[in-house]
Amino acid sequence: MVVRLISLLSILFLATACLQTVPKDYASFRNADPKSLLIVPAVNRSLEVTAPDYFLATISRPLAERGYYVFPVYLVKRVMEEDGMSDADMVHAEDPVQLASLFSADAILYVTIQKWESQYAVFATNTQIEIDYVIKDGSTGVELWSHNQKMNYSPSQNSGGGIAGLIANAITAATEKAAPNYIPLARQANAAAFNPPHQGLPSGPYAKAYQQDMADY
Amino acid sequence: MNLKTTALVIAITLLTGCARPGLYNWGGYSNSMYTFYKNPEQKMQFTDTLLSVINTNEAAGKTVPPGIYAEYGYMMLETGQMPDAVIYFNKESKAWPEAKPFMETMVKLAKGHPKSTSSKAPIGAADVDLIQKGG
Repeated sequence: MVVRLISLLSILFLATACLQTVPKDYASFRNADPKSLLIVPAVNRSLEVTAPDYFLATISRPLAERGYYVFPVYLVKRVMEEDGMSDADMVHAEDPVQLASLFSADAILYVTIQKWESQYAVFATNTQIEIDYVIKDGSTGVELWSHNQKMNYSPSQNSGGGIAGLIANAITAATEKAAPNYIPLARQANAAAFNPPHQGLPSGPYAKAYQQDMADY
Repeated sequence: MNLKTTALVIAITLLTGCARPGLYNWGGYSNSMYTFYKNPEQKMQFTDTLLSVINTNEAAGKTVPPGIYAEYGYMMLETGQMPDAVIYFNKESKAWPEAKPFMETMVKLAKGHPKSTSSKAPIGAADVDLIQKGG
């Protein structure tokens, strides 16, 4: 049972995270060669009002680990709020060149949360998020990279069967509904967006593979 | 190795397979920021975590991850501890040249601000003007 479950999880992970689709064109990205990334507040298209702030807590690390300088997200958010830019939709509509110049950032990452929800069914709860990422050049405003990432999570089902199994599943589903596991899901989405060759981001200046990964990105 | 262990090893390899060995030690940064957003009264906890990430890395001679000095400097600025704010904004500049222009503006804000411990938002309209002019 455990073996089957783990195999299933592995397959699911492969199918969602490391899936290779059409390779992206990195010409503009390589040409711009951004070293620092400004992350502006995320636009929220989900019904969960807390989603953008929670998401913000997951975003700096994976980008810094790709080798980029990432501007301090909380400080940037506070400065923008004080500057009358607390509305994410408004910030996303602003001229990227002007925005980048306020912080002397090489590029800006715009995040739109399309989906951030937990669908409850008595015996199974499915939590899913969908994120759009767009990076724009801070000196020209040109789009350098974009990605759409979906992630799903369903608590593992008790296949023990019988009434006990059903009750166990109902409890698991209710627990997930009460406290959906968004943060691990957001981390997985970021990893799946930024890391895979031909889809993710080339290594930044602080990574060992900087400018050595031309074949992959 | 039995079948179960093999499957587990494969699963773990896959789960970490897309990630690479880390460049930095982040300590509890991400979880702590999440807790802070979830519950803004947890600001002290977030501040403490930032300082602990800084101290742990400095003691080990490792590079403090990007943005951490600046976030901590801002926490100091928000609580009116201006000399500390200046120190940490300068540390961010020194560690990360990309941050220098922004940090120089933050240093000017911290130096120009009355050293009060008032809980009022430290960045006012005049300061925003300063930021827009690039210091």
